[in-house]
Amino acid sequence: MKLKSHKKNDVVIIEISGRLNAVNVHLLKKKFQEFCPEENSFVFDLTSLEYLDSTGLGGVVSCLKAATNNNGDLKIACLQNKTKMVFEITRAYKIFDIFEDVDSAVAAF
Amino acid sequence: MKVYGRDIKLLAVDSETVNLLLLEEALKDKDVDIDCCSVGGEAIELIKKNNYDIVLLDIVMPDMDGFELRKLIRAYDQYLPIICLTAIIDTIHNDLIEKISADQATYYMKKPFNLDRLLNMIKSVVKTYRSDDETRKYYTTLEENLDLASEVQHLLLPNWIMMKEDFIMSSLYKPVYKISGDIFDLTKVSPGRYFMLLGDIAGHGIQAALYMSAIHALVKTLIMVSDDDIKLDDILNRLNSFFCVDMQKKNYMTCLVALFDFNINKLTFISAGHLSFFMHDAESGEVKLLNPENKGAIPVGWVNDYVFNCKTEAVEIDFDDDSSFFGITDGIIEMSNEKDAILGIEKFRLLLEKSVADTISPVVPYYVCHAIEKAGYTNIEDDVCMLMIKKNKVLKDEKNHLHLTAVPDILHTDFMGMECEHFIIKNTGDEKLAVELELLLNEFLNNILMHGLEKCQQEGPKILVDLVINEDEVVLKIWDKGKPWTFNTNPIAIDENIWDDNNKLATAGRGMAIIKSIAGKVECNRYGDLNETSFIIKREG
Repeated sequence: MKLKSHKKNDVVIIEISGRLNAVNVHLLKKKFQEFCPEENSFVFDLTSLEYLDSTGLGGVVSCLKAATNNNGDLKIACLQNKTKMVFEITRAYKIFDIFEDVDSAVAAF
Repeated sequence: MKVYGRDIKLLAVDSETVNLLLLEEALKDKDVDIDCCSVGGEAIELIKKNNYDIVLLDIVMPDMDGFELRKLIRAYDQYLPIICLTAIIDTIHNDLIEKISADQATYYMKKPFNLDRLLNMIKSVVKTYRSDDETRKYYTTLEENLDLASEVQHLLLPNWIMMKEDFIMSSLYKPVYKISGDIFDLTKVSPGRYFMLLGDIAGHGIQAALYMSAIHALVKTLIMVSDDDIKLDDILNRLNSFFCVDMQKKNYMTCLVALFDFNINKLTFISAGHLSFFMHDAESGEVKLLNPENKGAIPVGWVNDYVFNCKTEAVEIDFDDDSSFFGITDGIIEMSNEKDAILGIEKFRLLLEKSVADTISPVVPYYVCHAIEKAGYTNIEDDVCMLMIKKNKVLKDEKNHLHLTAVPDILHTDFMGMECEHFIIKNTGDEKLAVELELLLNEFLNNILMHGLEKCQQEGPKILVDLVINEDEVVLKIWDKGKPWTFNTNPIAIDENIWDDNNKLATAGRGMAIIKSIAGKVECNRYGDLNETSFIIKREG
């Protein structure tokens, strides 16, 4: 799993690629913490995310909760077929705002 | 007053302070280290802090009587001796004595007491206590050493499941008590050819286990230094020399030494006083005890100058791709029922035949032993070992069947999930089914199995996964040697609420909820120390 980040219109965009699971979810949480509490608007760009299990998804949910507790939000962009299915099977799509592309997600803040 | 060279450390509990003062005065010159207290609550705290040898206990006390205090003491230390000192007059039915003696480490002395008698009683009780304590410590150390020896022994043996490109071997290994004199190993000699040893060292327990370790090392060395063309009789002659010369005929071993050649499907073996292989013929469904010409030799270690000879003693068997071989030590056929009737070879063969008819999965040894126990043969007098070896056809050409083994490590189990996903996509093209399988397998292995296998020390595969694609469903079976567990038939519902209490549910129910939402049917069974979990996932369309 690899993480890259940049900012666009005061929104932090974190690109997650590879496989997000119990082995590496702590890295995502650590990366997210680097921006807290100064930043509170996030988009996770999942274009290159191949797979995530429930532990990985749990990590994304933790980030969402941290953002909302800091009066902000976290939006999901560019879910691919496989990861979309995981979001559907686990009903996680119901708790996130999900967008087709990063620009739409950023514009939604 | 010393016992085994040490002073006696004593706690006296009495609600009458004057009694405690008298006792203290009486014992002060007697090498007794005495603490006193008059309240039950304080007494239990002192007991937890100090290493007393004995407690003198008054029965009638206002806040907590002696029997209530004894109950608290026993919850903390079941062996600490207590002498009840009381002026209560017993009933005609000896109710008091009966209540006191209900506890094995409680003694009784009537007040007022004679000091010498009390001192003698204290000395004698503490002597017994210290001696028993030493024995308990000795047995605890012995048990710990045996546990360690058992772990070492298991490290020497192949894992319960071994899957290589050429073969699959599963094994069931059950010592009578912690360590065993049974031995088995399968070692590659050259591509497609494997040497196998299955042995039973006479007797059991520590001495047999030590022989087992030595033979294991010896055989490994012999295979390592031999060329590709390994000779079964050479191995037996060297083992015979080990028992007769090196160990001066103090013990012996029956064994099967064999060479499996999966390139040409040929088994060659010599039985040195050991029960032959059983072979399951997939076409006829029959299980036969091999060795049609009744060839064989004497056990190794019996006769000093005996020369084992392949020409006269080896048996050669040609087999099919689907044939399965079973090797056992006689601990299985000597298992007996409550009428002391032993199982015997023929009943074992029939139970094996029935188990193989029900399934040809590699875990047949566990099914057979389960069937034997269900048939009432539960008494084990000797170490039990059973192996199943078959050609690994699944890896080579089956389109709807996948076998995988995994080590209990998240990186590896993640890889297993990927393998299953690729296999499903390749053979069905169904991406949703593939993701469901991958997610289910990850959830199960990471959340449930890893927890159950957390104390596994031995390296190598511990988990066997078997995936079969049928026309209308996919059957996923997972076998592991983790803790026993049962499936919660009523897990939390899978909806967005499972993410509400994210941290809590991550370890308490979310995995099960996801699994249940994917698999229509989940079944758990346990065969000896092996868990079998089956999932059925319906295919759409």
